[in-house]
Amino acid sequence: MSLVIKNLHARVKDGAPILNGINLEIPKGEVHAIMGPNGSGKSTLSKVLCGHPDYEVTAGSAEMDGQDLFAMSVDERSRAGLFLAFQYPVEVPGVTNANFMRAALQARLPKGEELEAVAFYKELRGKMKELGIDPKFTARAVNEGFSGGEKKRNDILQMMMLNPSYAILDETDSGLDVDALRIVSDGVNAMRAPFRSFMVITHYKRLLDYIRPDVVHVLYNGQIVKTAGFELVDHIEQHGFDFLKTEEL
Amino acid sequence: MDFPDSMSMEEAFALAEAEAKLNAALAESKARFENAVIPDRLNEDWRFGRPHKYARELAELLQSNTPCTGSAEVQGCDEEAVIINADDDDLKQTEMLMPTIGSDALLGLHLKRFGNGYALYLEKSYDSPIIINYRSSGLYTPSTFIMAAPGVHAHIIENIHCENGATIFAARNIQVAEGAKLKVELHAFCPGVEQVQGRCMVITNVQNMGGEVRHLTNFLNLDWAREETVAEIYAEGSDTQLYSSNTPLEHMVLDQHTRQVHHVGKAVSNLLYKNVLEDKTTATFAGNIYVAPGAHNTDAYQSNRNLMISEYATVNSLPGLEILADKVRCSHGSASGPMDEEQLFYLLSRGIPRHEAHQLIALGFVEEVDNKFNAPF
Amino acid sequence: MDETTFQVDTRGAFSMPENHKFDAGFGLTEATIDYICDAKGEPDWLRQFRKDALKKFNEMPMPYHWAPEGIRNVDFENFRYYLSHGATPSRNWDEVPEDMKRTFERLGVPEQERAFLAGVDAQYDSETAYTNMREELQKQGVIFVNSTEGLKEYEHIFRPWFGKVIPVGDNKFSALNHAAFSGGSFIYVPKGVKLAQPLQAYFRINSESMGQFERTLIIADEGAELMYMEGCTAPQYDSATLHSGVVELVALKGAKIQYVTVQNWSTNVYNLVIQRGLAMEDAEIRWIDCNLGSGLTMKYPAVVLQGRRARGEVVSISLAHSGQLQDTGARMIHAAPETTSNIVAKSISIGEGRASYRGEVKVLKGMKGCKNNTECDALLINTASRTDTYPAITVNGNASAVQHEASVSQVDEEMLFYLQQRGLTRAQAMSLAVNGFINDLVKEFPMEYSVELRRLIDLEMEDSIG
Repeated sequence: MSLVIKNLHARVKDGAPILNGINLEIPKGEVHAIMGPNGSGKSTLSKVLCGHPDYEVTAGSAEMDGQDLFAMSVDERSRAGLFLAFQYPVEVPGVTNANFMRAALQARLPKGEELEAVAFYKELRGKMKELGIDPKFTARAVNEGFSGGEKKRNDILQMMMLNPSYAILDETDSGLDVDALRIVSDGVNAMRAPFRSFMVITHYKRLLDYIRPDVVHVLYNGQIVKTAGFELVDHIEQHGFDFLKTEEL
Repeated sequence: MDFPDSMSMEEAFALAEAEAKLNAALAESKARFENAVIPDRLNEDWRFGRPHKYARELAELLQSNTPCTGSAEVQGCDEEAVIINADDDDLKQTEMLMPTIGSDALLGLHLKRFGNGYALYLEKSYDSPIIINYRSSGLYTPSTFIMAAPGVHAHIIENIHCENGATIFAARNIQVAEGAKLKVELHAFCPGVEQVQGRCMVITNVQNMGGEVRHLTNFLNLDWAREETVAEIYAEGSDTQLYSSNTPLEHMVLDQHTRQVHHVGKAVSNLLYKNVLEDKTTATFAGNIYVAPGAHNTDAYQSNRNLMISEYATVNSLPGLEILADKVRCSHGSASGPMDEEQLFYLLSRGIPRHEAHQLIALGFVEEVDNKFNAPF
Repeated sequence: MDETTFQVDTRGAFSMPENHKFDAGFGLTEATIDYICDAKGEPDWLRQFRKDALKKFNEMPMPYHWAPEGIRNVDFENFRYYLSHGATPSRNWDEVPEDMKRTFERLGVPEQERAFLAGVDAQYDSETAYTNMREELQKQGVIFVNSTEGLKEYEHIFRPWFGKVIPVGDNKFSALNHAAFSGGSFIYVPKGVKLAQPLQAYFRINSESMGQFERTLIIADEGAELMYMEGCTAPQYDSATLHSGVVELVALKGAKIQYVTVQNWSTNVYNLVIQRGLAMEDAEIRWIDCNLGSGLTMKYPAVVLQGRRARGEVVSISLAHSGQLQDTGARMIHAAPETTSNIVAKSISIGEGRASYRGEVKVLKGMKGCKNNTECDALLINTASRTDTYPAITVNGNASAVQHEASVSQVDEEMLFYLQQRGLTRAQAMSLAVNGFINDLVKEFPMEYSVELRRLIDLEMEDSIG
């Protein structure tokens, strides 16, 4: 059981190609880090996997536990177990966090079955407490007027509630102070399990010190150019990505 | 003029002066109604408003022999605080002095039908909402007068039931004294989906003398609705908020006009009008912020947002500013467009099916208005 | 700093004695039109055309949904409708009559021509005194003549587009211009020809009570590109002067036209101009507009986006000091799918000046994927200054997005204090702040113009604050 990406090519709709043949396999239970300089295609990869309408797949495939991701709509992929913690979580005015989460969970139930409200709120409140989120937050509109850190925490809360099998964290560390980073990482680490994998996209070692990856990939010019263990993170921290230019790739 | 013996010279002068001023204003107002013409295409305030149809048909109905038929009731308010308008000269004078936005001639016709509706004199605070219901299935011209005394807190819900093709034309005066906190919401609607949709016009004048007032309008399931709301700010430190949220359906024509008039400085006004447009609806919003000379340090905002759901819907948005003072913080914005793709993607990415996601976003779009209106003072 | 070094711009504030061969007198009647046609030697169809337009002009009301009140003060009887030396312009400055030549020399026109222009058209009252264009452009088939010559020599190109972008009955002032037009440029740039340097027109009103009705038509054929600039000045008289030009632009498939105006009329001038462009498929029209002068300006450059993916833009700067109403803005009509437009307008009101933005953005029925973005910012300098914003936006359907934002602000006192603490006078500090406010727009003007613009703003600030 794994997430398998083969020869994935994608571009901005009617625009320039960004992913140029990505090959990647993330088995269940593992945490893979994706690093790479700005503009290498990291965020695009996460959006393409989730089906963002701005991008189109021009070649290749992505399978999640044998299911063809590209044959599914955005919401079907989510219900099948794929989760994206956004680099910039979106503000949805007027829609409260509670209603939003209820709608998302309700959509996962079989037709005709109603979400059990008391249990839902109990679970939501518990997870919020774990992440240090103010209880008043349930009545506030999704991400509206939230600080950068609050938005990131809200996305992690959603991940905990939706219980995905594959979670992509897109620069979840950006905009977080040290305390928030620890809280978020603790949340993620608590969710590490043999039936779940993570793709952690980041620029910095900082996050990976908390969420220690099993495998580290470097993305450059829309391709995975290097795959190694944690020692690669240290190397990048010390020398940056300059080795990409000097090494023959 | 006779003065009571107990009155000092100064008081007598002041009273005489006030009376002279009032008489002058009434004379001016009388001339205003005499000179006014039924709105036509030359009337700037009826631009996009189809005056040749709606203004003319309303005027014809008011000028005809059709009697005014309708009922009015008030709930949740002390009896002594309520008077029925019939033949109350003071109330009639108040209505005569009301500003309109392009519809002086129609207000003049409304005055000729004066005598329906309620006046509420709120001398104490009310914890529960006061509810006013106006109902008609014919022609009805109610007038509402609301006065909130200093420091009074109250919440008023005014419902206009346009039953079975009714035409209801309401005039409303809302006065807010220093330190008062007042919420007034107006809902005009046709109560049944199977009924013939009626028409509703509402002219409102909010006068803020130093309190905090929130005004909300909502028009639903009508053939035509026109709103003219003039908020006048007369005292420093006052806070005036105008809200509206609408989801017009079918062929509804919604025509909303607002003015935020800052007569004095150091006051705040804020407007948020949001519509979700379905079917073959047309929504027009024409707003204006006027900051009078010398009204320095004014904060005034105005925002009109339209979510376009249907490819056959039309929106006209005319957000205006007229600033004649200095040290003003003032902005307006207008945005009309389809559902935000990023919001939609965010909801979809959490597994919410497209149809539900659409509904949630559209509902949230107008709910933002209700949330702001209902937030605690 | 020596105070005498600062004063308002006086370069345009001089006049030459009147010396006309032709003078149609005051008022506009059929006889006036006959006089103009005879003086210009025009064909019969044009004479009839003008008379039909006059009839329309007399019948039409003043604009109502689209006009400041000041326009009602215009008295059409009090203007002189045709004043000239003759209808044939010179190609050489040496042949230009002495008084006109001296005028344009004082305004720096021949100097600019030598420095950076591809061609110049200099109009003095009703007629063009001088037109010339670099030879290599003539060889490429570029046409740059005045409107009289355009109609005579190039009727086959001119006439099919004449009055098509702005019809006679568009509004009262359009009818007026169709009846009385004289001067202005006719430009045709052939397929694929891209002009590296701008063409320039200079409009000069010299005579008292003059009515100047220039007529400009610019056609950029498929893939062609050009920039056109106009400058305007007039001396200060006690009686009013009327400038009511019509400018039509046609950008055919893939063509690009940039039209730059720096208007610095004296304050006795009514400046009521209609400017509109038609952008076909993949074409682009940009109006870059700066209004500094005139007593009342009404000017809303428009783009009708007629072809798929056409783009329109208006960049506008207005400055209104005491006694001025700058009623300026923009119009964008989205008449084809996937068209985009952009409006950026900044105004500055000084003293008792009033600057108004009036705009119209329309997405017609059935159009998809259209986008407009409008930004209006106003800066108020004094307590008696006034600013208004009157946009009108119409959107049909659920597949287009239109956004309008406007703000009003003052110069930040903290910033002025900071600058003054560093030794600047209040006027210098204010001038810096104002320049900062419009800095991003000034960059849109050609270098020579942006330097001039900054200088003019410095002068205005000194005059009103210093």
